[in-house]
Amino acid sequence: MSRSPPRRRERGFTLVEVLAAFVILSLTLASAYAALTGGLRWERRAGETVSSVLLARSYLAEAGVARPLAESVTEATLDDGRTVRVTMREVEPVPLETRPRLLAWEVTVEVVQPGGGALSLTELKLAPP
Amino acid sequence: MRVREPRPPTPRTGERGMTLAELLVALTLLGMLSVMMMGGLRFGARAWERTEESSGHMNAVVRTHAFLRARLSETTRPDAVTGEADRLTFSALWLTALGAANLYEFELFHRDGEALVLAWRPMPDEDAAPEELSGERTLLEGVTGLEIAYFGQPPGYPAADWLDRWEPDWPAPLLVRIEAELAHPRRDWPTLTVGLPG
Repeated sequence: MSRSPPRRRERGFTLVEVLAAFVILSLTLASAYAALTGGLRWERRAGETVSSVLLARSYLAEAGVARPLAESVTEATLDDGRTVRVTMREVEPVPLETRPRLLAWEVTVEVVQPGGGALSLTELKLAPP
Repeated sequence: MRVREPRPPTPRTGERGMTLAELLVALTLLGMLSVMMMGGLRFGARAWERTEESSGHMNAVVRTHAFLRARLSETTRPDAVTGEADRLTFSALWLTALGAANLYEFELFHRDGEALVLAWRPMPDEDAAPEELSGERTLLEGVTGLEIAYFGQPPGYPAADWLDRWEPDWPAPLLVRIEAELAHPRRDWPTLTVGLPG
């Protein structure tokens, strides 16, 4: 009759070991969740930045057409909490022999997002004096 | 009849199971952990889905902006743009095949099924373009309203101003501004203003 050899050194986990394993598992999971939520937050920030670029381009298109070129700083807060600041500045006259004479304007559109982060686009516009 | 002699119990040295209390504690912990994991998984999946939707929306917005900006800023005919507050018609060059372009008439409008739609057809006076090049596609879902404004000085007006319509026989406006109202409160349509070649 075969008899299983006596198994030595085989015993279950102790409660403390199981607890330690659970703690390590929870820490790992917690860091994984933190990474996930961080990634999602950055994704949202990226979307907001893209949207702000599109918005800034629209403001640049208006400058010199629907908003006259003049030394000015105008600031507006939109419904979604973004702040748009349009700065128009005449560039030092360049001795260009153009006829008619043209002035160069530097138009800067700055968009500040409520969740933090800002970006600015600058364009040069030429216009008769 | 032989009687089997009973097997002597095998003495397992040092092997001892958990007590019932320990087992219960471990099971309870495991249960709590699995509940947490399931909750976390569901939360993660939902967040993932929402993020994918919002980035898909943003992609559609970028595509729509880029397309309209490019087409509108290269319109050439003086009568290129007509429209009302909720409908914009403009003509621009577009491909009929690789290496061949034709003038098309584009129409941007809002359809009741909450969509921003672009329809196109070759201009009637373009001889080469067959009629089957007409078509339409949805640019953006979830749009509940459209507000288009035109900036310019039509004949007989004292000064250039923003208007909510543009007549066919007026020379092209200087700017076109497109605002869209979206069904989802956290979605975003940045105002699209395009300068037209004056």
